[in-house]
Amino acid sequence: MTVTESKPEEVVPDLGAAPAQPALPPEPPSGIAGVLGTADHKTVGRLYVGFSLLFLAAFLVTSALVNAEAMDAASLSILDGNSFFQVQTLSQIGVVFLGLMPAFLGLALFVVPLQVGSPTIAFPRAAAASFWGWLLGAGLLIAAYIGNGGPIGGNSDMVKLFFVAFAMVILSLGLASVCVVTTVATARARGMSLMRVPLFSWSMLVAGSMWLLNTAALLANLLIVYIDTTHGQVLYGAPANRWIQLTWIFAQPAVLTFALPLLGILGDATTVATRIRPARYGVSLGAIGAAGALTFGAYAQTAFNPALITEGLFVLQSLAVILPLLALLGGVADSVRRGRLRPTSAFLVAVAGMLLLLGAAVAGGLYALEPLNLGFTVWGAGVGNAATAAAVAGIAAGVFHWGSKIWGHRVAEPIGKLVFLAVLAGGALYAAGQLIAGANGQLPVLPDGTVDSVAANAELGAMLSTVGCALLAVVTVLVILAALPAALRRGPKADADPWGGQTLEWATSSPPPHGNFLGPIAEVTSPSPLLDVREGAAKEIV
Amino acid sequence: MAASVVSVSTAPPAPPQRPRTLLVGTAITACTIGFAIFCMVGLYLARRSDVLNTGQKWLPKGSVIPLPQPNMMFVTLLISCVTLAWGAYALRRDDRQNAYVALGLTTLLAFAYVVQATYLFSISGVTVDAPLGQGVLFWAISGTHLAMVIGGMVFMLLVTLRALFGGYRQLPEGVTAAAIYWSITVGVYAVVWYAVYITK
Repeated sequence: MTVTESKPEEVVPDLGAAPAQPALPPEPPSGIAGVLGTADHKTVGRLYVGFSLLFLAAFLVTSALVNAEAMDAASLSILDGNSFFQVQTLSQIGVVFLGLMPAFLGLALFVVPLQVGSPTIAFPRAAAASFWGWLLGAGLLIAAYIGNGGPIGGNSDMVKLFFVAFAMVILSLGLASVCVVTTVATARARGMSLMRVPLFSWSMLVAGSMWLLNTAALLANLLIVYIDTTHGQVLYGAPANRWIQLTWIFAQPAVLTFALPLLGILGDATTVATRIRPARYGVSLGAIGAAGALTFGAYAQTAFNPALITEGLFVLQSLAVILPLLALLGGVADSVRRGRLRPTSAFLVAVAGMLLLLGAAVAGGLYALEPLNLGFTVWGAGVGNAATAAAVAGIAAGVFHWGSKIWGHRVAEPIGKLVFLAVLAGGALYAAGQLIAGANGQLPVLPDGTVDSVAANAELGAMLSTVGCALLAVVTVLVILAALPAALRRGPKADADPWGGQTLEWATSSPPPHGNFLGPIAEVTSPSPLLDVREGAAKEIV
Repeated sequence: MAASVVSVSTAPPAPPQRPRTLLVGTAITACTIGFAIFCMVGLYLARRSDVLNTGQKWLPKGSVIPLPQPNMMFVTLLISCVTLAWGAYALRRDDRQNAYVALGLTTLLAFAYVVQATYLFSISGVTVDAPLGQGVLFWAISGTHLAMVIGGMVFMLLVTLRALFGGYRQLPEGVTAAAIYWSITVGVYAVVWYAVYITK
């Protein structure tokens, strides 16, 4: 072997200002082999969306079951004392890590490369590995619970399996987040500066970054709890304390992070619905970025510092996050005022989600105000419920907005109007129930399913939350029903651009071909490249 | 609904590639791992503070964390940063001989770190089931960082082997990505070194 050969001339990298184009994976085979062995971001995205919607519907049902138990505070009527806490923790993990996060990531894996004009996702094989790792982790997680595992289960082997499976789920979702964030950061079309990135892609850059930070901290907690559990339980003691170390991820402010992509979906749906060029684009980008930064919650671990919820940083953060959300909502109202509104399902559902998220932020702000004495009551759960409902609305809006692009057939748009009503009512009830109980001083249910004391209207609140959660489960089922014919290639074929869209994903066929675009993307000169073409400011984009 | 497809016709020339994807992806991944370790260090410091406030000693009886080994481990990692920078510099100048020597040295230094860490663990006497939870936190932090180092070694070995077997096209980007990962790994160790090994 010689070590004196010179570097071939043709491989000198161009370090100029040209955009990156990740290497395109080989064209996937068709059929089952195409699904199992694919590294195509579109197939991986579809798989993520499909499975996560099924998980979301199932775990919203179990969550409704847990809420129903609190309707009679005196005793458990459906579950027994051993299984109550298990079902409760499984529901929380299931809704967020098997439902909301993977659904948004699935949408992002499909849509983000198209929006930024890339032929593929960054690290396509890693994206595929993340899906299969997540699915395997989800299966093991559920199996661990079935085998009396979970955070306080009685079977020590299954408890260990629970921690390993949960870590596997988190790592897989983290890997998918890295792929999405890297795509937005490096694979944009020529001329598409970060100030011109479509709002959904931008929101995924922000959300993905925040998810990585928050879940990295969660993984650190998980590792320590796992080591403690397997080596004498000297650090945290009783099994119930294990779960407390992990609950900050489902509490304010971290829980708001899971609804962040909704902000981008609302932005993109608004430009389509109002049919005008977005105004003050930089403000929208800044507001989404600020909202993301203000949902950083890894430090807010009340298990270590219960007094944290009265400290200045937490209070300031809780109140400040309301401002960027108000700015975004104001921008939407301004667009509606200036444009010719066409109330698409995606727009309506996204607006409902935005109102719920704003409600969550306001409720979170009140939670942080010490004189109101809401700390450690179920008011905090109400904040989480509102954020969860907002995220469900975001996923529904995303499916209605990009469903035809994803599956190549039209998604049943009329169902979207029903989803709008159901998600607004369901989300409001889901949150209001806990907020009412929390305002009356109701404390959370103990691990054995009992409560220390029953506050006034607590049972009414539980009933409202149960109805609300059930409605959100119905919303998820409706979204599945609306998308199912398209996913099965039934019904009318979708046009390339059914909405008169302004961003690059609408410049290619539905579904997009291998490589996404039939040719290279021309230089992008604004956040609305397709509108530039229509208005004659640009000649062509593909 | 209207279906106005944007025109598809002659396209401008394909844009040249800018090899940043691996760099950015590696940086994001390394920062995420580093952040997870920082969180563990935070929990470690909080727990240690709680224990010290009760008037108890932090390190369990019979345990010791000597200074020479952690210091030498730090010096080893710092030298490996220099050799890695040497390798990247040599590659940019098409000097493959120097590049191979530098990358090989870096991998060797990383291996030396692993050996020293293993020795430190064997003499420290900190057991995982130490009564106040010190062992759980100590092993979680040091073990995760060791895993991060081993991950970096594998990464460096891969890019070096790709160079040896002619994968020159990806080499400069791969080595730079490995250098970013390694630099973050050393930065994380600096925090662990001070918080866990020095202040004890």
